[in-house]
Amino acid sequence: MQPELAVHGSDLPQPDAGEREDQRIIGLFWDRDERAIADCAARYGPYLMTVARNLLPTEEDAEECVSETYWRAWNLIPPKRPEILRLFLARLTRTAAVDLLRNLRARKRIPAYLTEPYDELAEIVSGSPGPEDEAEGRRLSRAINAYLTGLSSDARIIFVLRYFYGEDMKTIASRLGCTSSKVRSALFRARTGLKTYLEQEGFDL
Amino acid sequence: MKPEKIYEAIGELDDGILAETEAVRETPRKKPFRAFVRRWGTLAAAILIAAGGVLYGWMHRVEVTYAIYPAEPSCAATNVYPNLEEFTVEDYLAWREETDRAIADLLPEGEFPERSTAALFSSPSGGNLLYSPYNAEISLVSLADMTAGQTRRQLLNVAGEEDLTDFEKRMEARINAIQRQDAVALRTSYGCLNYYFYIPEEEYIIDGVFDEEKLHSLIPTWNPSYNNDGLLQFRFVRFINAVLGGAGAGMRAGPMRNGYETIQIDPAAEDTIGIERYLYVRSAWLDPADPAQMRKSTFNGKSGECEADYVVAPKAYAVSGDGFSAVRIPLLVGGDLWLAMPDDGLTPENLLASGALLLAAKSGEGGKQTTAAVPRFSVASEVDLKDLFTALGADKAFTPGEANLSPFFGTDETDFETESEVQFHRDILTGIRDCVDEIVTKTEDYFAAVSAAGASRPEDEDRIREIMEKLGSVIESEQDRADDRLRLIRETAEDDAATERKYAVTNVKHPIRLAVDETGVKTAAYSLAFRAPTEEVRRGTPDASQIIDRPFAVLITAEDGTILLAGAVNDITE
Repeated sequence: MQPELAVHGSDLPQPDAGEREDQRIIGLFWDRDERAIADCAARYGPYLMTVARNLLPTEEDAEECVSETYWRAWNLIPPKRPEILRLFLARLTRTAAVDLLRNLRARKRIPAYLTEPYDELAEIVSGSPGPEDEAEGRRLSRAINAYLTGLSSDARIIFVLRYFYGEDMKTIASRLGCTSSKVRSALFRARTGLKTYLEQEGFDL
Repeated sequence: MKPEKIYEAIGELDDGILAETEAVRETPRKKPFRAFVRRWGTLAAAILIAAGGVLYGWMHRVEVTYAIYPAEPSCAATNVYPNLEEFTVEDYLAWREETDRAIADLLPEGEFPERSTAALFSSPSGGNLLYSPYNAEISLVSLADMTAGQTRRQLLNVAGEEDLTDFEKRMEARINAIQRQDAVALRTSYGCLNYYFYIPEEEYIIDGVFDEEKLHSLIPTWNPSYNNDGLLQFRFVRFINAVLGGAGAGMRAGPMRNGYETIQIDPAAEDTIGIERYLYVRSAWLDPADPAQMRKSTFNGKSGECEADYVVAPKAYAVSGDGFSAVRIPLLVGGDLWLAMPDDGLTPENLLASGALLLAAKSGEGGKQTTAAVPRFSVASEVDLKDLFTALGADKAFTPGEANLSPFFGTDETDFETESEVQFHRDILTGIRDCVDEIVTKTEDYFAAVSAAGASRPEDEDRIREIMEKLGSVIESEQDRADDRLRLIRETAEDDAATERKYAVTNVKHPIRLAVDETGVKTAAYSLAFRAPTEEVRRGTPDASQIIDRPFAVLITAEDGTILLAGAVNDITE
């Protein structure tokens, strides 16, 4: 058995300036101080716009989505206290973008390239109605997280860039210094693996 | 489950997973293809030297047009086998069995292989002649795709097809059957390279022989990618461009266009754009030969006797048919090597022209088990399939002024929807045709090329610049358009007599090298390095029931009976 390591205060990782700034903004949210939104926008606005642009067809849609992100953050903090504000906001942006996309899809206003990631994922499910409850949704999220954790780092990153951030294969290839073919293959494998995994976990795909 | 659920669930990924990806997103993008530049260092240097003269053209380049890569039969989805890196033989065999079932639905082979083989070998040259009907047919479908109107109809007639879509579908099935990704899984089987090439021929075909080192470095690298929806071509263009520091010597990767790769061409460049169709076959014999059984004996070639090292295949099958006696030697990767000696008064070419041997080989089975002594040999030949295709009735593609290559160059006016686009496209056509005195299109079996030769610049450069800049923006804006639109263009493009045609296919090269040695059989279409003898070979009659000691016809068949290679070997010394 390994001896338990003593951890002294001075050994604890100290938050850097960025983390301190995040904590300050989160504090503003908790204090219901509206400067939280302005500071959020100043610090993460461009980043969130990048995330939104990948998922939505127009600049206006992206702006709307990011505004919605701030609004949702306002409603969620408190009670939530995000560990990493940037990622918390990215998730909100994506969720808002998905909601907006649903709306746009109904109005058939989505260019084909934006629906590609969605369509790819659609290949692994039957499309038939399934349980709609929130608990099942959470269980699905946990399963996907677990599946991704088991992938190689590269495969995981490719998956997330494609299906979370909605990036096209060319961009992903460029980020990773590989080829689009490799990205496409990795995505194919990941989807196939995810389908198998979810079935093993008892999901009715 | 509805796809929304999955898509939404992905929105709830853990911080750790997102943070990992974020780190990549924040890192400056990597330059692609660096590895390839390293791998291809020598070649790159050669290209740079060769392209030096073109660099001027790049720096002063203003006019750029584009060509649409001819559609090709898509291949089996990549990595169907799930754990390629960790496969076991049992896994592999199970997977293969599964793919076999899928191949059972294969569409029947067309009449082209038999017809073209018969035509090619009906007027023998007297020397060695090798031909791959399978590969020629792939070239044919690509040629048909990049042409229109009467030009296409002629090519379809040669293929025995009414409709291009049917032809593509059939070839897709054929390719899927042949490739089967064994090359990916075991690296022993069939492969196919297929990429844009943009290097002067002399850089990689030395005295008619493809540089073997380059070949072997290519095979493992490119093979897996080939199956991936043709993206390899695009990647290769980009690689070449990376090598050339952006100076694509007249060709650059174009944007994806309705799902098709495009290449951009500088009409002023005097270089070659290549599209390669490559077939690589390499296999051991199913039952390996014993090197100790090798004997030096005489081969009675057409041009005289010579000494040959005879390798004894311990398990072969004797098959006799109308005019020949043959041995069939099963290959490890599936399929067979056939060596057929003609009856008296006949030649190997006669056997191939008559169709009897092909028919026997396509059945794939049968024969009485025997042993066969096969001379070790390495032969090569090259034919211009242009002559063959022309003889079979497709001459327009090769005739300047008649060849309709509008789908390849995207020059049909139906490419655009609005009247202004149509007019604009007409302007582009005019611009291009003014630009290019002669654009010669070369397609080859193993090397299909488009070259812009002897080009001169237009007088009104400003006008051309304007057109080409606009074209660039149109191409960009067209990226999201549906595939079927381009399909429509291809289907509706007809011969229009009013159009001046300066494009033509100049030749369809078909070089093949075939080698057999003591490791059983190693064969490669195109070229192959093979081992030198490792020990002294004793002289004497080889101990085998069947001895292939005079001119013979050779066939390599795939497991499904496809004729991968057919040849007449009259002499085994080159």
